[in-house]
Amino acid sequence: MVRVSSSISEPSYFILAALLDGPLHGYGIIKQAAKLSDGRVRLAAGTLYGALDRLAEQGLVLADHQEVVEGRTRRYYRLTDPGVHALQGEAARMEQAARVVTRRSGSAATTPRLA
Amino acid sequence: MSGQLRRRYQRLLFTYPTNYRAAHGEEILSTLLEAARPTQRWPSLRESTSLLLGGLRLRARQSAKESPTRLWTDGLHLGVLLVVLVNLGHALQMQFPLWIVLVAVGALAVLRGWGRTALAATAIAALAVARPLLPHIGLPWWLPGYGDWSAVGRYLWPAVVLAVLAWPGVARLRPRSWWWLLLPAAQAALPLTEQPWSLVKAGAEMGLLLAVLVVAAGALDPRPAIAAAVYLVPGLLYAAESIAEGPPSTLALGYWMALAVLTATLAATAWRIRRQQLTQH
Repeated sequence: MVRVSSSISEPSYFILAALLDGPLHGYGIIKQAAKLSDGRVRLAAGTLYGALDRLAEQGLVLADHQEVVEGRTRRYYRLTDPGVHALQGEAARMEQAARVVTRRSGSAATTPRLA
Repeated sequence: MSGQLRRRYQRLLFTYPTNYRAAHGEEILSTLLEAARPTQRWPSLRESTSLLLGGLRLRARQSAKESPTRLWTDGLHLGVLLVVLVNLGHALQMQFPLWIVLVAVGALAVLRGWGRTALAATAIAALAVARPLLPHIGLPWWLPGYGDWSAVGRYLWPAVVLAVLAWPGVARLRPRSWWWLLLPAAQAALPLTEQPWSLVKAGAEMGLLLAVLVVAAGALDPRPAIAAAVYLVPGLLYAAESIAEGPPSTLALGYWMALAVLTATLAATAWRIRRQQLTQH
């Protein structure tokens, strides 16, 4: 699994990103993370809840409310303010890191090779 | 369909600690069932692996937060529970009703975490079985006596461990599940001293101990390793006595040597895990 930073793993990044538009329950997060990553991040339940547990411990997400739909318990999670900041900081860091490569590989492709 | 799948996922959730299951079990099950295909009856390999690893990782995180005293207390308690339950299984096969009651009281007290009652009952049982080796102590007719130290050790060892656990400053013993009583029940029901059951028992014991090693290392929890090491001590005493009395069979020697290696590995694993936890925090 690719780590996007020293503190936020790729699954955690997409879990946080999935919650940007508002609270979601477990399966909602799984679907939204898959959609946002073009199907690359397919979260299994064990991974999702392990990550949610760690993110809650770090104060980045919070259990919002609970409801029962067709006899199934759904707990909704939402981003906290530190969660939004951490996600934005991570996105900015990745953008800057990506620019370092894309700028140079663009110029490398146009520079003629010396024999 | 959904009921079957739910039950199967529920079983997999047993890798998670009890308190976590109580708080999140229903929620995780709902997510798993929502993510399942409509006709799905069996948990997928991907979800199963993720649940097993998730449970072990969570146990590791919780175990790292426990104090060393708590970890040692739980490990020793679980180990002594295994020994007294096996002793109860043996007692149930004997013709001494009052002896069965005494051993059962000790085992129940260990199971429920009543330290002093457990210590008293197991100490009386240890003294009773040692009577032929201690001639000045009177011989009540309702108790069996053993003439070899390894058999005495099987009853003395839990009393020693319980005496350590009764020491001031040691954490309180936590009550254990009633399901543990299935162990002596199965032992009493099956002729484990006869072939092929004795081989089945030895194989199951080895398999379980290896599984304990893997789980302990995976969950970074030294408790299963401590418990298994405590459980193996009476067996090693028996092996030492058998070897001292005469050359044992190759099969028996191999079995006991494997147990000795496992005990040493378990002790080393428990030690390594704790060091790892301390360096991580």
